[in-house]
Amino acid sequence: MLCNECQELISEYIDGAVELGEQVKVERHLADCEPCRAVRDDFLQIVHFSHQLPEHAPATALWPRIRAGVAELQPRLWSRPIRWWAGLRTLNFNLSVPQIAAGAAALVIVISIGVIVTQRENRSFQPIDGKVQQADVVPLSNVDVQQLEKRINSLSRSVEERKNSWDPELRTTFERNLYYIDQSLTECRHQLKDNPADDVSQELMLNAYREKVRLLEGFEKF
Amino acid sequence: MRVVTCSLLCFALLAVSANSSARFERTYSPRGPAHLSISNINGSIRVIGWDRKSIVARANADPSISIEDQVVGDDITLTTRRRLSLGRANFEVSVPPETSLAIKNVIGRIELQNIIGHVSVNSIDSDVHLVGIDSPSVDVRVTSGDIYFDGKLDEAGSYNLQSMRGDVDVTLPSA
Repeated sequence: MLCNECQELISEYIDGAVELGEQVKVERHLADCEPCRAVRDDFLQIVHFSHQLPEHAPATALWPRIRAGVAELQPRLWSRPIRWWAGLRTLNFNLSVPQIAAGAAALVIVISIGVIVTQRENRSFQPIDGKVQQADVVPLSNVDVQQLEKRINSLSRSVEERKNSWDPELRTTFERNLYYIDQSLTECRHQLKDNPADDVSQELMLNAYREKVRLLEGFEKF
Repeated sequence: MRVVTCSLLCFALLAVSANSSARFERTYSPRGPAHLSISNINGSIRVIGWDRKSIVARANADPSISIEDQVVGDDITLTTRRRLSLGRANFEVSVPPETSLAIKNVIGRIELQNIIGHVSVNSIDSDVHLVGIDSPSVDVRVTSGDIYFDGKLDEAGSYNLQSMRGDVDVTLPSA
């Protein structure tokens, strides 16, 4: 693989978007090419720092401009429902009293069936003993995060001391996978900042921390 | 002149041995359901269940890699150790289906076929292929890589397929 081919793929490689065959070629080239490794490191830094940037809310007028642009490009997308609604409004509803009563009865029956079905579904999820089960996810406390980060910091120091002696392929694998985990942690933190009670993000963040410990413990022995 | 010739011959022999890969082959005969652990660093691992009672392990490894085995009863452990550089060791192992597997790797594809014993896979950068699995316990953790599972799930079993970055593709029987 030539340097220009490798550098064209580096951005996708960092995002994990290259096929396995190309990934192997990129890694083999990076193992032997210092300039391309420098390019890769620059990309990694850019990605890392871009995640640290504060989020900015878009301008108020942005969405109306986008919507107007889409409407100009695809008028036929909206014309059919508009025509249907217009046609519906021109219909002449002349119903007799028995017809109105039958319609109301049908509506009541449909709503009743819906309520009964919903109640049955709710009952089917309750445990047999009738007690409500607590969620399996325990909210991640600051103490949990601090303990995990302490462990991670200790392992990271140990890994940093050894990293320079690693094989280039091993170093690349470590840095790439560390980046994926850090990316996941950043996303979880953003989600939890908006909604601290988000159980799913808490579980994902705990998982990401554990994964980081697993990665560092695995590479600490090299 | 003789010294020069001998030296040249020695260098030639060293060069040939350095370029050739080492071959590892062992056969084990467990008395009951075995527990096989493979700990690799770089390379593929392929384990296939077959209809014999013995375990046959083969590996092709770079010269910088040594493969050690340890047998304690029905527990068999295969471990790769690297000397200087990160060489590759590719494993091909045939086992009785009821063998329990504990596979550890860092880089490289992992493939398990026709296994009914407990399965544990722990890797960093691996695509994992599990086909014909009918195990009560499957635990697969990779940091990056795709996981493909085609097998049965026991209602009392425990199954964990985890990848931080990759696709998880699960195929189950329809009934």
